[in-house]
Amino acid sequence: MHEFNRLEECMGTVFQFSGLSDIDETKFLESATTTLHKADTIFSLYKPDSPLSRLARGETSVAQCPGVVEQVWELCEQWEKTTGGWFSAFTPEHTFDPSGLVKTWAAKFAAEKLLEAGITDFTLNAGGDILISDGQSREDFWRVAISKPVSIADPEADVLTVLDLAGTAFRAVATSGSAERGQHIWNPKSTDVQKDFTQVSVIARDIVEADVWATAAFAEGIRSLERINQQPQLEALYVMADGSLQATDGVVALLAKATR
Amino acid sequence: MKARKTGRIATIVMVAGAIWGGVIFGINQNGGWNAVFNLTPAVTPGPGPTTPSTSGPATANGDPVNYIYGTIQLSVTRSNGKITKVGLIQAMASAGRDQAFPSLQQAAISANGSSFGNLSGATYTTDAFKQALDSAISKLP
Repeated sequence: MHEFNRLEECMGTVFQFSGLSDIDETKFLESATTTLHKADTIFSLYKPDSPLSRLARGETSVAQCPGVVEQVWELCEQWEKTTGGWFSAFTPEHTFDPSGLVKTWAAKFAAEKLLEAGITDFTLNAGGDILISDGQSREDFWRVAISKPVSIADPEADVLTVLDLAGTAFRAVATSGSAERGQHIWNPKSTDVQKDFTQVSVIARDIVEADVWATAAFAEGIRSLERINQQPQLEALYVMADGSLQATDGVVALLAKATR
Repeated sequence: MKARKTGRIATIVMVAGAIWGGVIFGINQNGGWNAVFNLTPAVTPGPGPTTPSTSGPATANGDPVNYIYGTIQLSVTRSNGKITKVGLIQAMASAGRDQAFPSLQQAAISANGSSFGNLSGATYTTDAFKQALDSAISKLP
């Protein structure tokens, strides 16, 4: 067994694969990162020639796009229903923008490339959203710190708290907030922007599920707490506008026990 | 005021360290990240075992730095004049600063006393990541 670590710049952020392997992981990491870049090439709205940019400009149709576009479209529609309409990939300008889901959707595919190769002991940090594999063995990597709601480049950057997911069914943490990219989540139901909280972290079994709910909660505001409470195996921790914390019922049990 | 200042420095290091996964990582083989982040010039040899930069790998541990919530310590490995590994070897925080917090707040602060492997936060930009990394490196002893 040896330790591996791979940083990959993609989608305007940094992905980090970290784990243990007893086989040479190099080519499988290549295949995983290629998956990320392929998704970026298709779904980026920052690349004017991407299928999604062309779709947004009305120059092409979903049917003419690569097949995964329709898959992601359908996935977005399902999540819109599940979240009571609070996650939406359809912008106020009526264009299709699945950015709230594509990063973790691609991350999940990238992780599957490693799993298929028999590399089962790793974590993937997708620009702040975390996936933990079932076979993850390093004790520290079951513990996920939540950042304070300031940019990691800010002198005040610090850890808010630490979750310990060891021995639970949870395999993912995703955080949405305004600290890094400002108010980038639109409200699908009105033009109002929620001011209840500055950051929400969602703990789920699946990284896409965590990401979608974090995005939905950020759009809805603190009323999302009860909505999330009603979902099985889903928890959320909020940093309110005044800096206080609120959380769904199961969060306290997930807080790490101090190691000192 | 003094404690506050130390806290800021250490927390930058801690958060950047956490992003790397808490344990040592290797900058990729072609030196891409090393070049992108311009790691080498920012680092001066710290305490601990060091060897001339042209020889095999050498690892130096930074001094533990006390900060407002606890202590932080990083290790840096240099090989052939380049920083090849950075690790978070100690990241402990003191628990329960303020007993007056309500239970969730209190529990969250207590949990802050744990080491961890990953950091979840709002999606950071590549630039923010590089900045955090540069700060961490430049703050090494």
